[in-house]
Amino acid sequence: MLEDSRIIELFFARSEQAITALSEKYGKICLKVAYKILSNYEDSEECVNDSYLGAWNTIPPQQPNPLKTYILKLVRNHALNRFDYNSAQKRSGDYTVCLEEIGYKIASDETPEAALEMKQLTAWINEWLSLQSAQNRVLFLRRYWFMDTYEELSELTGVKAGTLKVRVLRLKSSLSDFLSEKGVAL
Amino acid sequence: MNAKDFMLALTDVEDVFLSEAADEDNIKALFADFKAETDGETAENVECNSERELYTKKKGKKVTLWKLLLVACIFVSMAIYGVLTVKTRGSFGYEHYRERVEAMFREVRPDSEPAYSEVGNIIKYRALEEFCEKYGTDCYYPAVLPEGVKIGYVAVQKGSIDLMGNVNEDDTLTYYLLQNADGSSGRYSFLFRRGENQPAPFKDYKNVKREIINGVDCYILDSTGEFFQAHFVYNGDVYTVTAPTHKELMLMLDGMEKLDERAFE
Repeated sequence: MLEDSRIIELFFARSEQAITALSEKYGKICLKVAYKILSNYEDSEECVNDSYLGAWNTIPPQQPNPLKTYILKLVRNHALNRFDYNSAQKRSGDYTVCLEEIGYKIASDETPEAALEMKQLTAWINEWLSLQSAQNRVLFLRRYWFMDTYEELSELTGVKAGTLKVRVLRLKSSLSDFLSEKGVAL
Repeated sequence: MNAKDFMLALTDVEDVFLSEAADEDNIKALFADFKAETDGETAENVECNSERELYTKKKGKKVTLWKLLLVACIFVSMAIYGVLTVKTRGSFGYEHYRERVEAMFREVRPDSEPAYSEVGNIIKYRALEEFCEKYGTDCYYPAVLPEGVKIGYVAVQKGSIDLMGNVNEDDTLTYYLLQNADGSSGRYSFLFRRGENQPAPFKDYKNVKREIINGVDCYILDSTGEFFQAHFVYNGDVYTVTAPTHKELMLMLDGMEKLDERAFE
């Protein structure tokens, strides 16, 4: 498999090999992340492909390092949006179609203020993560970022699922307290 | 903030943290020294504790209320027990036993023939049960013998096998088997010798238990491992003390030795 730097070079050279190399190296984990959110292979694959396209459109000018987290974030964002879209359809399919016909965008609630708040929230989460041990950080992100089940976490870490569950609950509580101090209720 | 916002915000965490979590190959190594958190908790009981915490959080005041009620019930029970004890016995613990036993000893009068007439200078026998019955008290006094009681000999009775002992001048406490379960009788010197040298007949007996009482090696014959009664002498009278278990009897022996070490000299 190609080094990340080599894949970036291919992107910069506008070579389609870049997408192939990216897929070979990170396709599996990307699909896993998407599937964790969407629980549907077709949607997940579509989501991953959209993410590859997103990477193609943003590299260059961006030169992500590490490439892995960059593509994973793209996948997760796409998957979350797709999840919202799917959920809205399930809740009120016909109604949504009608709204779309008259030009209403389902994901239209993103205002500049909301985006700013989101960035602030991310900054606080980063601050909280920086206060945690490596084990706690990994555990928390594996659970809530990668959405691993406790059984998967147990297999991954070699620690009992019940023990991990307790630790994660405590971490969640700790984050909740941290955010409360900042005026955010989790 | 709702969960969706949180999930979206989490997506953009710093790359360094995400890389750390995405590196599946190294996660196992990272968790090799994983320990359950604080308070001496183990990985196993953390789970239990967590469940308890969750339960407590969930039930909250209800659990606390039950605990308070339980504690209150215990205190009330203890108070009732204490009141009843004082009312029936006049005091707590062994104090009333001591008083009653001392009273018994004060009133002892040799008015019956000794049960074991062939035992040395023991001339009178009286079962403590008689006194117990008379004074309406329990017949077991492991450590409440009055100060100054001189133990002339100790005997142990087991079922139909009666064993009696006598303190000889040669530092040997000798027991006599007076009657066997099958009705046979005889006299055997076999037990309770201070020091390492054991009397020769000792080896002929099985189920011998060895006890250390105040640093003195004591060997007591016991056919089943339990003693029912022990006898001791006070002012020439033999008293019988009922001991529910072997262990309690040993307590009594221990107490007697403390009262008068000359019993073993």
